[in-house]
Amino acid sequence: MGFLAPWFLAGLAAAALPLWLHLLRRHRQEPRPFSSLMFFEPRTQSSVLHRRLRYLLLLALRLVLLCLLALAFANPYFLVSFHSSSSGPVLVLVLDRSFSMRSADHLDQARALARRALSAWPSGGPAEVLALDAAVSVLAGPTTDRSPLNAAIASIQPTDLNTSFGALARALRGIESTQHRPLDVRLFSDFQRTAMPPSFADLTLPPGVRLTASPIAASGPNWTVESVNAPLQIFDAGKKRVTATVAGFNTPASSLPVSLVLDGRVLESKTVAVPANGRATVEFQSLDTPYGFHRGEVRLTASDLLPADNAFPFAVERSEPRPALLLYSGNRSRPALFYRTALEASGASGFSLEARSLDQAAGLDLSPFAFVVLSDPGRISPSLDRSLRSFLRLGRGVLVALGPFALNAGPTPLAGYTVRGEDQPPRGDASQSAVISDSAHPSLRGLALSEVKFYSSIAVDPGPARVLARLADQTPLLLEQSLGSGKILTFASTLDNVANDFPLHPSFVPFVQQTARYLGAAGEGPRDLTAGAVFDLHREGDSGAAIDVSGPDGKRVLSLAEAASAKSVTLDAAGFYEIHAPAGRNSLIAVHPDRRESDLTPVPAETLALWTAAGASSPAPSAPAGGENGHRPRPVGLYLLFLALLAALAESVVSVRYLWKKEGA
Amino acid sequence: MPASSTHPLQRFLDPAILMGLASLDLVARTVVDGFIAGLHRSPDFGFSQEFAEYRAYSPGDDLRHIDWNVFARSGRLYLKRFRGETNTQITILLDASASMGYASGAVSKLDYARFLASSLAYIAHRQRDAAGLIVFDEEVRDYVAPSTRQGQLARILHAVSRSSAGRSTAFHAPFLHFQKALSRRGIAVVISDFYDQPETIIRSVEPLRFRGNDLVLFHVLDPRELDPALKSSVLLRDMETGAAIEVAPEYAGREYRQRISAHIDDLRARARAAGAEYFLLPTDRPLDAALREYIAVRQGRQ
Repeated sequence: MGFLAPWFLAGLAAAALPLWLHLLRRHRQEPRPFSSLMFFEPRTQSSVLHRRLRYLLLLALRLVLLCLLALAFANPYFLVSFHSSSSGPVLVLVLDRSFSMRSADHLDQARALARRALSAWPSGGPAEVLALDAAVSVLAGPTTDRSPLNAAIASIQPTDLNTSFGALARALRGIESTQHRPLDVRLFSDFQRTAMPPSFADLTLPPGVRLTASPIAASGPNWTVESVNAPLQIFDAGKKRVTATVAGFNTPASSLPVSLVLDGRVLESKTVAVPANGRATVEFQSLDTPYGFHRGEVRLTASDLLPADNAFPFAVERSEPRPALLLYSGNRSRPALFYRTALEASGASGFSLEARSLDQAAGLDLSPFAFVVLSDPGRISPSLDRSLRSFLRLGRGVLVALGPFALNAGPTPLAGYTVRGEDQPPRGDASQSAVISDSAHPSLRGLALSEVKFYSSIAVDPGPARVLARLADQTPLLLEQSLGSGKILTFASTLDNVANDFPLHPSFVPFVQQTARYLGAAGEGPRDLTAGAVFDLHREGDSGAAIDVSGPDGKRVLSLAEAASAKSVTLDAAGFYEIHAPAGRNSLIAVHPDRRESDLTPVPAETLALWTAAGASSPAPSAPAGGENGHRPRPVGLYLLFLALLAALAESVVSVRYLWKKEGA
Repeated sequence: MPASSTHPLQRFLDPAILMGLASLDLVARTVVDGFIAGLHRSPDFGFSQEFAEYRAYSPGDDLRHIDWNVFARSGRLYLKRFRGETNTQITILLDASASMGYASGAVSKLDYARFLASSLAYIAHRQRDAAGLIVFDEEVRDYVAPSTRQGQLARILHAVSRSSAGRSTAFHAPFLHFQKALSRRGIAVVISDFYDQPETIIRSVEPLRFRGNDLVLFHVLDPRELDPALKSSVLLRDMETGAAIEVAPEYAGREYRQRISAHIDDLRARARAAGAEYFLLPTDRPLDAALREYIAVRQGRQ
């Protein structure tokens, strides 16, 4: 027996505390009146003895509790004997099933090699089967039964995910730490260079793990449609442009036919000249879609190692622009001019702006609008406030731009920020710039406000709101607050060029458009994602309604229970996913494999040797043969902690019982 | 077994219940009237005019004692005999020392003693006997001279009600005062917890007996004084002297009980030896039960 942390034994000194409390501390109590003491004698010795005896159980429990705690933290261990049959090496067969293994018969080769390795492993030795792509899945074992192991090898199918050797190293470290046995790892993979983690340190294997690489031969050219740039949403008629990048890996210069396909129909075909090991861009001008969601694809015709990556899916939706409402005070319609110009600048924002004065907003039905902008509204009428709050509870958004009318108008509309007054640039400067606090926010992504001059703004007390941008003097400039599932963005300056020159800067247009998309929940349209991405189902506004997700094979991805409760879904297969959410919030998502998988260039031999050698530097696990006895420390700290918990409970019960007795007496 | 189960008419006479009654007059009436209803015998009882028996007339007997009603019905002459031919005097000595203020429950010893004194005064009032009261601790604190005047009962009850637990007990001074105030023979009733040496107590009270008085000692004790039943060691403070002693439960359960029992036995024996009657009254005992025992004993003596 020994202690892993013997210094904690000093905690045993704490046992002196209950000893002092019980035996040495003078017991004080209030005297109780009694009619006469003529029949009593002062025999306090007996009383103290009685008290000591009475609390003996409590004292014992407290001593036990403290001793157990000290011992538990000292973490004692016992040496237990073991036989080598339970500590011999485990054969770990790792089969790469990533997208690149769809190439030719690579997966079949991997299966054959794995079976061969398994059959060569001594019959009494345990083995397990792991599948590797972006993560590691344990398919069987560890077991000495060959049947489930062979079945697991046969069941492995290629996925559309990428390979991650970093994930494999993490998984092996975890397995070794839980099994406490040497691992003889055989990795069957095409060993793509792109599967290596950024840092070699991430590949570190623990002692006792020996890695043997079994590369699958992969040589030859591979072309791929690396990316497609197509509009996600189309709001007007006319043919749109689609560009695609074709890349070649280990390829000679060649001319390849590329086609634009929409809903299975070839719209246009071109031939693109791709340089050796290079990239080429092809442009189509014939994307013309009817209303609705459509499945597009840029398809490459080539004979190469990995035909599965010769097509790149994309989703597109044709719809009418959604109306947005801008309400301004009195006749100050100038902000509407700037905002409309910025919103419609690209022609692809998907919104049409309707501007009205606040006086005309009375009784207006807000439900058709995607979002609402209040330009320097001052104090809004109670009926408009109720309408806007109902509008927000539907999951919509409101942008409030504060201006001079906000002064002396009480709290700001909807969000209710306290207005502290007008904020002037410090030190007599004419203007001040702004800094983005949350650059990852969807409405501020990629923006820079450092060149924008703010001459004046409205200083508000943000309270618990999220401050997205601040002026140079730390005054909040852009704040966000939620109301139900709705979003309220408050811009503490005007949307025209009176209080700032923001509308004159290039960043105003993306600010307006990103804000519009964020507030108008425009993210519900089609999306292009990489396989393995997690898609947020935006459940905040739902009340347990089911969201149906159909996979590329047309089957439901989520069970009925999951459809009613899942917050997100992992899109791990290439193809098109259909999302059917309540209130017609449907989406079509194009999922393509990670194009790093198209680069079949293997890991340099010296790098691979370095990795496997690192594992081999530890004591090499040998195949199980015969038996060997030994001793292994078994810590018992957790058991002691459990006993301490029981002692604490018993102490509580006993002390409460004594307390009741004392009160009763 | 509680007295209420054996005497249904006395079920309301628990001392704790009597505490809720408004006045001592009401307490006394409740106790005594209920007590009378439970006797089922003659309404003649008490201290002097106690009916004894009928005896056949024989020549030479005083004709004034012939019961003519019986003669009218039966045609025979019978004499109606009483015990005590004259009204007597009862003086109640109520100990109001600090120790009498002790109460483990709702009723203190002093409360119980007040109920008892009130009931005895009421009985005397019904019998048209002269009743008086001395409230004492280490000295005489209140004195109502025995009398049969109208309003005497109210005076006694008023004196009883205003008595409160005072200082320590001393029997010598109040009894000396009583001896001086005593003008005729009668009954002296002492209600106390008798926290003193039995020898001292009897030496103080027995001169009353020498002067022809009947002496009755009511020893009022709280049940917790008879059986402290401590669950843990406690610090006890003497209500009269203020001294404090830490007492262990094993002492209270064994030696204390022996001592208090010895004290009671000694006091009872010395009282009887001095010709006095002794009654031990725990404060949880129904008052009418105590009175019943007292009457029974007194009838037996006569």
